[in-house]
Amino acid sequence: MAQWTERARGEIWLRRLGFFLGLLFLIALYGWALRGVEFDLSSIFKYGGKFFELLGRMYPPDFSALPQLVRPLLQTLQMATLGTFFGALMALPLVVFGSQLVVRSALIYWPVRMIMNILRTIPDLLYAVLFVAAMGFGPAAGVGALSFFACAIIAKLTSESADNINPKPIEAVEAVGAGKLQVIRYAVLPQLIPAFIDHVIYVFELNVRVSAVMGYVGAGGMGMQLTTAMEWRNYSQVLTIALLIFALVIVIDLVANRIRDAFVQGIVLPRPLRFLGLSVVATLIVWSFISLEVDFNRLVKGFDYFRNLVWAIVTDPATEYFELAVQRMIQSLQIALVGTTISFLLSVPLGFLAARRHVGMPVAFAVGMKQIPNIIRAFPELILAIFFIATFGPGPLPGVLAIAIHSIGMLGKFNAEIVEKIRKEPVEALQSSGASRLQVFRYAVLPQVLPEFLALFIYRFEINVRAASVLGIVGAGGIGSLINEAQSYRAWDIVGICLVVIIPTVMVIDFLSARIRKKLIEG
Amino acid sequence: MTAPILRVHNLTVIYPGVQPVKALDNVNVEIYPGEFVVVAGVSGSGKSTLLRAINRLAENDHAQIHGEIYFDGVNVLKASRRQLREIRSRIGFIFQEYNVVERLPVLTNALVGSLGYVGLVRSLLGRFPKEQIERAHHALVRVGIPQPRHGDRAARLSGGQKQRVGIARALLQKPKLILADEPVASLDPITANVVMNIFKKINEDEGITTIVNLHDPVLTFKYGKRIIGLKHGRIIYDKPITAINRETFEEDIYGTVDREG
Ligand SMILES: Nc1ncnc2c1ncn2[C@@H]1O[C@H](COP(=O)(O)OP(=O)(O)OP(=O)(O)O)[C@@H](O)[C@H]1O
Ligand SMILES: [Mg+2]
Repeated sequence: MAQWTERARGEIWLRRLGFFLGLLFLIALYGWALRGVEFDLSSIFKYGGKFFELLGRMYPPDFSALPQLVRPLLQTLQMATLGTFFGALMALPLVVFGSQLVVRSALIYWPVRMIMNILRTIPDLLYAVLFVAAMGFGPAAGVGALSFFACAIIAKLTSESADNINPKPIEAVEAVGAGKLQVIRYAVLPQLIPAFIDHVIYVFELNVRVSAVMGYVGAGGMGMQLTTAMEWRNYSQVLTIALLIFALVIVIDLVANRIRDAFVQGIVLPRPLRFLGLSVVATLIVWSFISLEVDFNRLVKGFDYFRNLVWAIVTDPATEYFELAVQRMIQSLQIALVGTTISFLLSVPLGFLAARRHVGMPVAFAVGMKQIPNIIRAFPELILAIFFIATFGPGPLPGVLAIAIHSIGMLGKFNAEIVEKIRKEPVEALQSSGASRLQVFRYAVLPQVLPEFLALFIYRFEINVRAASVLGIVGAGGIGSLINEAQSYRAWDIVGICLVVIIPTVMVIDFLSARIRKKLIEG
Repeated sequence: MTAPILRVHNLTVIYPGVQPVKALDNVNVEIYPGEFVVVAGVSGSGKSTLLRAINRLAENDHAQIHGEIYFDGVNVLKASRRQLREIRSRIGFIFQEYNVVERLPVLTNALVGSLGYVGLVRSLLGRFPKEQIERAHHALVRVGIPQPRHGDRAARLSGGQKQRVGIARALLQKPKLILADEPVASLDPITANVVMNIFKKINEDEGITTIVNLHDPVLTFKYGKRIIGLKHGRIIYDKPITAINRETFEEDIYGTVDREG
């Protein structure tokens, strides 16, 4: 007995020590990160007013420019359509040859998976920069960039679906003596095709967002208009453009979500409707193709250019810039960390307020709160970053703020969903033993939601690392700023060294994040 | 007496791992054409492993299968991939979880059983011969799925109906042997009896040799014409129903002392 208490006491001390050390580590980490991003509350308060002043100058929006904006708006949609279409086509071979279900030899599927992972590490805007460099200004570069961006995500998500497909029907088809191709045809594809279509539609949503702002670096669409309006300080037009992008994103999300829901629920459309749907999609693709006037000669030249770029990176990298690139990459990580943390702190309360169960909020209020993340999510980071740069001047702080605000969209939404998913048995157990509301929260609610919150935080950090690596392209600090400088001097070897730093960093972070999240969720 | 349709000789199955599991330990058994055999035993006794070793599905779980298994005179364990497919096409396998492809129509799920009789190109295009389609409708109706439902997605069926589709799929194979691994374990008692009666009827009408795994003693006693008891991977009991003592049968097979699971 005495021995037991002794050990217990020892353990308690060890725990306290661990807690204390962890706390010290966190303080040091955030101290370091906050300094790195030049975070300074007083200047936020001092200049924060300017942000609203800026918004004030934008109001009222200038709708007289609307007719000129229709074409860029359509172009944005067309670029997203073609990008998704080509991306899906390019993803197919990657999925097939990267799957253990189809390919037996690890010699084939490992390299294919490697390519998939590398494609995934490159952030959307960086693709845009590379394609504009290779193919010149205009929508063709946008289509190229979006195709690669889409391909990477579709391939990744579909491969994950393929890994998680139900093996039982596969066994049944094997058991009747079917060959490999027949197994694929009758047990794999019926399960995989709906997932594939779901991912394609999801990526189309993403592509519309990216497509809307990508023009800022010269890749066609609405973003180009935004650049011009910003340069001319035509603020009322800036607001018009931002509102148009916002409306486009919301409409596309609504439509796409409807369709995806139908797919997930396995609703079978009657033949004529299915035919109608297919023809609408086909028309959209053909129309995009014709009106964007994609020049295939330039496409071919672009690939030549790409080859040269890769060749230059391999044979003659700008090694003298390696250290600088690493420093800026570290700043990007700091931006992502601080931005995600601020966003997290704001969206945890939002999650509880927007949850419909267990918190006791009136339903109407919760539903209202739930719209906040949806609205925020429709404002692309890039536009927020541009606004914050106009307020605080270029530097890492606008990047932090853009990420902090934009991420509330996803974090708030998912946090609310986590809270809604809480199992109510432990809550009732505590309530029935006479615990106070705070005690119920501490011992029944918090233990359930905390691991999921943290996992979500880490996942968002992973996404934000990509964002923080490119926001610098518009002036918001981090390694993107180096890319921006190099790009304006056409110093492609420096862009190359940035790629050399970004790709492995993002890969390592993806890997660690997946590991930690798995640990957190599975306990 | 005729030659056995299935002869299992010194069968040992090991699931490798940090702690390898010997799921079957030197099992010997002969099954004759037309028999209706129930394999009984508690959870973990090796029933599934036995059936899954016979058509080598156990290899999907990386099981090491030692010994000899002769089906229709051919050594299954020595068969090439091609031969194995041919062997499998003559053995209908029915799963506890039905294993239907939920996204495909009921009819197609049944037609999967005829893949062995349809050319590769036709099967990949999904263009089954008229004759097979007729057979599929017929088999489905026979197991109790009316024609109007054949176009539905399998996901919309109840558990009992899915299992009937599983049986229809096996029938389309024109099997010489049916292996059913706990086919009614996920069903309510009434549906379970209905499904067991389908097996019984197929066995009686067409003389298809049938081996069914069951953990439920009542069903075992009711439907088995020969009962094999497994325990810890060994056969501890093997008697025709006529020689079984109703009083001690449960005790003999399941034991009362060290029952697991
Ligand atoms: N894939 C596998 N990997 C490792 N061990 C396995 C695997 N499948 C089964 N086993 C082990 O082999 C033994 C026999 O299992 P089997 O599934 O054959 O039993 P069973 O009689 O069918 O049981 P149940 O009634 O639960 O289905 C068990 O100890 C089980 O843990
Ligand atoms: Mg079993």
